Amino acid sequence: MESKAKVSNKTLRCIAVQAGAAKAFKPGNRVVARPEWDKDRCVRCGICYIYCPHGAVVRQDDGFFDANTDRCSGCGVCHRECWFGVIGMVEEA
Amino acid sequence: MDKYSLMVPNFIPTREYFDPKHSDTCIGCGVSLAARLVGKALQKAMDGAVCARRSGADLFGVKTNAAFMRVKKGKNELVICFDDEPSNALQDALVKKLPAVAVAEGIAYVATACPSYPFDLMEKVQRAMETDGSAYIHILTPCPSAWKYPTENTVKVGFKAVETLAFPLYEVASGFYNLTNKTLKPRAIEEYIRAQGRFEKVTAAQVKSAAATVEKEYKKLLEKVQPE
Repeated sequence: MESKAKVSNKTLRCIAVQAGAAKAFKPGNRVVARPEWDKDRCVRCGICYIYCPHGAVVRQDDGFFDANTDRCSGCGVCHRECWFGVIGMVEEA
Repeated sequence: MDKYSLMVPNFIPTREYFDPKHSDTCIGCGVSLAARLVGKALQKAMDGAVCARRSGADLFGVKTNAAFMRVKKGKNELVICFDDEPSNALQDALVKKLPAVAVAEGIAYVATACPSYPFDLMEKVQRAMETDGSAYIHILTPCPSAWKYPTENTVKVGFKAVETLAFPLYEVASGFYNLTNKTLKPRAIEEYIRAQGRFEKVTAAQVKSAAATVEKEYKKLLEKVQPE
């Protein structure tokens, strides 16, 4: 199964550069971007699962990972920490 | 790809003990990440845990604004400090008073930890629960909104803090020091300082003196560590 969503590894919009800017976002609020896993290259190591600050990464039955939309705040830590660059941040409409 | 699957989550409990919705956490929060890992290490003992943040809280006679978690263990107590450096001073980022004060107070188990090293952190929490007597763990938690760096770098900044020796990881069990992360090739302290927007105005001369203080503090620590 190929994921149809655009996966961009270069740009990331969910950045709070100024102090206090991140406080406008709360987990579960409207999020600028969400992680998307490229299942062809994912080795299912689970680094994203460990480093997720809000525990949003969930392991599915087939062993791959996905983001829990209730908890994910789109911080991009999983995108940055993935050893194989599998996770891309997809901008929300 | 099956033969490469390492399955890191197999080694830790899958249940989440920390709910970010009920606490006031920003996106990419380091405190949230640390609290989540602590919850996974404590498991059932998490029921008796109280987490609070008060301005000017007094611990061992040192006043801080950091968040504290207190866990009951028998007659004694495990105190976990989530230090996100609320004072925003360069000196506070380089020299940590609280772990040294805790050792002087005679706490049975004292350790420093960082959520960038999750297994190290969880092992220390478990070891603190196993030892007799009270325990104290000092956790450095990067904060994207106060430290002014992109939210995605939360874990990377933690790595930099440890690898530049600004925040060495060690544990003190009944007076014996033990380095848990041996950095063979330390990075320049400038990398850690320049990664944060709050230290934009720090001059090159201040960076030099910062490097000197970090080296001095690390030498002090190495002297305390007993030869193996």
